[in-house]
Amino acid sequence: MKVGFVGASHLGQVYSAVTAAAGIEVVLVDEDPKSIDDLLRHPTVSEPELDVLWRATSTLRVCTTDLSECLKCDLVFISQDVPTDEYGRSDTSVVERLTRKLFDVLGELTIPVVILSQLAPGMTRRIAEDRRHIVYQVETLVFGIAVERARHPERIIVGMCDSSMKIDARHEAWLQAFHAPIYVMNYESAELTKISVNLFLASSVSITNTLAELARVIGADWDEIAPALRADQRIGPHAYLTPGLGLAGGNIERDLATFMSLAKNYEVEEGVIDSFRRSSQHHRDWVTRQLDEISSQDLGKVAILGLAYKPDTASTKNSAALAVLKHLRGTNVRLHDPVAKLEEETARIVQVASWREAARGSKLLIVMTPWSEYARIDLVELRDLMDGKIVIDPYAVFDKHAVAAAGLQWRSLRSNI
Amino acid sequence: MAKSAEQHLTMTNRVLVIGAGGFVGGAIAKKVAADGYEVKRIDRMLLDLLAPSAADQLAGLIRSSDCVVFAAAEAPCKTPESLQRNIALVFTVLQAIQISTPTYLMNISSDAVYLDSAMPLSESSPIGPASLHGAMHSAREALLNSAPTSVIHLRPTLIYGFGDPHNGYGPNQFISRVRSGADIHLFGNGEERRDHVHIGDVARIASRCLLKRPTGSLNVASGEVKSFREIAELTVKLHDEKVQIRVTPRNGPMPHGGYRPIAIDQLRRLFPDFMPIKVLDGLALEVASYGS
Repeated sequence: MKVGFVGASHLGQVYSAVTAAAGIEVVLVDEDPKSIDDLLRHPTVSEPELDVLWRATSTLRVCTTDLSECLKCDLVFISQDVPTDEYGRSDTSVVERLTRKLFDVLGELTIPVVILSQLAPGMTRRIAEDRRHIVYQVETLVFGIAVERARHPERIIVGMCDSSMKIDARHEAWLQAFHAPIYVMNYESAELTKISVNLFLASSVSITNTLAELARVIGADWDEIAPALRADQRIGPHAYLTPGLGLAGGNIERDLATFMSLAKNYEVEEGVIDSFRRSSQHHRDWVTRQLDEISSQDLGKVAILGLAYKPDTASTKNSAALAVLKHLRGTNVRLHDPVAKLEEETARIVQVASWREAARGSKLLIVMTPWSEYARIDLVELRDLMDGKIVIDPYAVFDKHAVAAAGLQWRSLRSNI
Repeated sequence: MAKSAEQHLTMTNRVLVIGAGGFVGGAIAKKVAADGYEVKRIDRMLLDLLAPSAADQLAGLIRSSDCVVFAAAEAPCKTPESLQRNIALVFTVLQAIQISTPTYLMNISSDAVYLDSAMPLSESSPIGPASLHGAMHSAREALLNSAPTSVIHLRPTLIYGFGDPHNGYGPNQFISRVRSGADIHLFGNGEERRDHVHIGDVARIASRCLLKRPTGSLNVASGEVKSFREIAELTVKLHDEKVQIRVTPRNGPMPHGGYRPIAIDQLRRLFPDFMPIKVLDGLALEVASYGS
């Protein structure tokens, strides 16, 4: 079996790698020759285990700019991520263009085409036109654990032109490599399932952040509450119950924006969903509110650890760290992140190669991404490197007792010292 | 003998499954994920445990708060070369654990470590493996006992269930033969009697141990003894197929003296509400799920 992937963004790289890891030959197509040149050597997105799979499956992969290679495939995925703007609004033109080009190449051939790209309800039917063999398959990858989720999905959602249609045997053969329950539905149901998943996650994030904020001020401990909530079958062990700095990464924000646009068109009451966006903004600004409470002389030189919107990814889309950097314009900042790169350094905001370099001589240190390597920092060494004592650690990466023992002043979303 | 640690039960630990691509490791990973743990799966594609740098690489993946399930093995171990590779694999894991120590280590061992006996085998029965496979597991247990963390050795008896790639003599082979319309061949008259445990039970017990954290060793079995003939007849009956049960003369003595009962008192003490799957139900489950 040979499977084509058109579009070599995060989605295409991850899915082509896990397909090859299942022993299936893959063709990865991208319009950008530079990208293909890089992909011949290594993946170009940062995702745990992707490098290892890339190396282990090199003999099963062809990377090319030539779309006609898809003619040799039994199945082709459209695997280009849909870009979004700062408001989460999708630009699906690239997916529409790639799909049309693929249809032109395939001509009358009925090789199954499966769209993995994130489409709003109604789009698959519009793109497919009268091609009933087009399938929309929902991706539910998570940055940082995308390989794990793609290799071991809890379920696979398949949208067909008509939910009574049978899945093509060639697509079925691919699905069987992943040993997961398959939910077949029509295009619109599948498209809305994708959005529904993310809106449920947005509700958990919003409610968790709101309740954790209340817990801090009334003397309750959210760390004691969360396990009791997880044990409730209606909430569940995997629920998003860790307080954070609002929504980031782009995916949930995209589906919030898509919902708002649909709600406006179809006159659906949108108040509850809109409140998630407002809540996210409020919690993203938690660090800047802390900074406003700190005297200006303590802001003389600031160290920031973490730029990515969460650990194990290089993505900085809507990262709370970017909002803090914007707030600290005019302050001397030294920033470190193990993977993510600052797009543009300024005279005052500089990215450095180690956490020590960032911390040395700083008046104040902020941990903006809970990378596991930061949890291993020796806090006595940190104190000695710093010129001040204030540590803002929203995610409580550092141990509360170790912080106290080192004589540092600590502010986190859990509690303050 | 397993004893339960007195500690606060927590669901916050991540479970790192070494050998998640295999029959037992895969089933455990799936079950603990469904039970709410964050799971990190390590399989051969991600890490070759026999590679020179494997211990360091594995250590880099282990967090101190992890529970580690060590299910990787070259099984069944039938040759001296395979034994050597299996031991090398244990050394890799042991070295990694010495560098980066997890909270809890679960080793997937086997009842093959026991000396054959006409009495039900309990965790305190004498160790005396009769095969290289048993010797491998026995050495593996002894080596892992030096790990600087709490260790449990799960000793499952003959496991059956969907996903077993070995198709060895027993329920899985009988089911697949009946499904393809082929006759079942029993050695001798299929009269040897033994315990068979369903893969679902192995995964369920593993998941429950990760919460309760007993240490020592623990038999994982159904507590029920059935002959291969009984199992073959049940399989044919469940499938309602017109296949025959044929007999093939034995070319050696019956394994384990023809009788392999496993005592599960320890399992019942640890998990009083645990109801093992009876072979008839397990076969029905397999018949219903095969190929789906």
